[in-house]
Order: sequence, then C-alpha cells, then structure tokens
Amino acid sequence: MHEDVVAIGDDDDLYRLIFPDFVRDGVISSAAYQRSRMPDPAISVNLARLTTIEATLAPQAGRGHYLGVLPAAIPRGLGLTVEHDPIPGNIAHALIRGATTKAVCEQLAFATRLTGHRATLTD
Amino acid sequence: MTTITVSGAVAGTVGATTQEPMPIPSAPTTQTTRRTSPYAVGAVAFARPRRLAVRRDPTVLTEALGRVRGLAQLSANWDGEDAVPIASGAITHAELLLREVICKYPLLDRSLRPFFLIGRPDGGVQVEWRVDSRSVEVDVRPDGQLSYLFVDRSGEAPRFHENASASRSEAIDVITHVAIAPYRA
Repeated sequence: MHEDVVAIGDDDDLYRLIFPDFVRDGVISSAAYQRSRMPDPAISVNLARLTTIEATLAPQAGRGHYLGVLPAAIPRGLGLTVEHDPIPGNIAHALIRGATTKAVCEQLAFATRLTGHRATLTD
Repeated sequence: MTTITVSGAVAGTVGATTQEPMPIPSAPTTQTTRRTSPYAVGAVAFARPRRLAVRRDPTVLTEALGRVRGLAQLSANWDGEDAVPIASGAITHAELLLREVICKYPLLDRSLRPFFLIGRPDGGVQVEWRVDSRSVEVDVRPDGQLSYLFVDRSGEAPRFHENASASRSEAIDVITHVAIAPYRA
C-alpha cells in the first residue's frame, strides 16, 4: 500500500464530477455513476478533505460539470468498498469498487447531493 | 361528352382534360327537412369531396426524436472522460422505441415525455421516464440491445426490477406501467 494512502471513514465526503446532461431539475441520473458498458466497477471520486471544490472541478473547466457530494457511508451501506487511490497529480483520488448493477448506480445517484458548484462553461 | 349526374348534381365530366373540384351536391332540402345531425342528410353526403387526413407525430415524439438526433452529433470525448460517439445502432433503436411507445398511447403523451434522454459513455442512449415516485430507465446499447431498470419509491423501501436483456415490448410494457400509474384508481 502506498505510504500516502489514508483511511476513509464513513463520515468522509466524496466528490463526484457529473456531466451536465446527467442533471435535470436537481435530479441526478444513474448515468452519473456509469462508465463503459455497464456500471463502472471502479468509480472515480475525490476525497473531500484532501482537496478543494475548485481543484476537483478544474479538470473539467469549460465543460460545465456539476459537483456532487456523496457520504462514504452510502456506498458502503450498499456493500461497496471505498478506498483511497492517489494518482499522479491528484492525491485526493479515491475509488468506489463493486458497483455491478444499474440499481446500485441509481441508489448512488439518488443519495448524491449537488454542491451548487459547477465547472466553467465555454460558449 | 358524357356527364354523370348524381342526385341531380353534376358530379364530374368524363373526357375532360382537367377536373374541377367536385361540387358539393345540394341536399334534398325542403322546408320539412332539417339537419339534426351531420349524419342526417342521407346518402348524398358521401358525394362530398374527402380530404386525406394528415398524420402528425405527437409533439412529445417530435421533441424526443430531435433530442436523439442531437445525441448523434456528439463527438468523441463528449463527456471529458473518453466517451465514444453515440452509435448509429443506438440512435436507430432509440427512435424506434420512442415512436412505438409514444404512438401506442397518444393520450398519455405528456406522461411519456422522457425526463432524461442522454448519451451513454459507451455509445449507447439512455432514456428515462419519471412519474411521481416511479421511474424506468431504458438503456439502448450501441448494438440496439435494450435493458431497463424500474424503480418504485412509493413505499417505505424502494423496489428495483432490473432486466439486463429486454425485448422492446417488455420495455414498452414497463414504460407504460410507469406512465399509466397516476391514472389508476
């Protein structure tokens, strides 16, 4: 295990970037937690206490992504694992592992709250 | 030149190079004949020129199809996370699904307006309907294969029903189940 890896508690918040089309009237589509063919088996999030809202939104600058926040207790309550996974350039990167059904993705989306912050949009 | 007379009215002219619009025959009205219904004039009514009904798609369908066509314009990496362009197979089958489900129940067209109609990062299309506390999201994969997730949050605990490989008729059944729910007693 990498020496910089930290334990993530149930009360930790996770940030998830959400493509603009996946949000309507404050409702988040389960698509926000799906990647390729089916539910993303390793969902990328940021551990909130190791980053900032601005730093999380920065990679999607110009695309208007929303920022959602999800307590780590939610995926764990669904039987998923949440682990810190720092990557070059993003010490806050973490993964939610084990989402194999759309129903799980829907529950993650349902429990995610929008922070009210968005990445910038270009014309 | 031969003329054909129907009920005393000139209905048409055989041998003419152009035909004038067929005149409306005068109904055999007298002081004692009164129209009480559009169907009360008798057989001569059938001589009226008939207009072909122009079939129009419901507005909801027109909107939905426009959004599907918009998805076809998405280029690679449209989500900023390496999404692929939406596959033509997904576009075609999403259009078929929308046409069939909305045209099947034209009176429910407002309930059948998709809440989400979005591209999927794998090149598929996701269509979601929400009515009250129920929802169904149908995924159209790039090869046209359908799957759906039905969610019912009307009770204390949410109920989920997932079908990873659904036929179009199965998907339409569950979509209409969601759309019709508010109209049930």
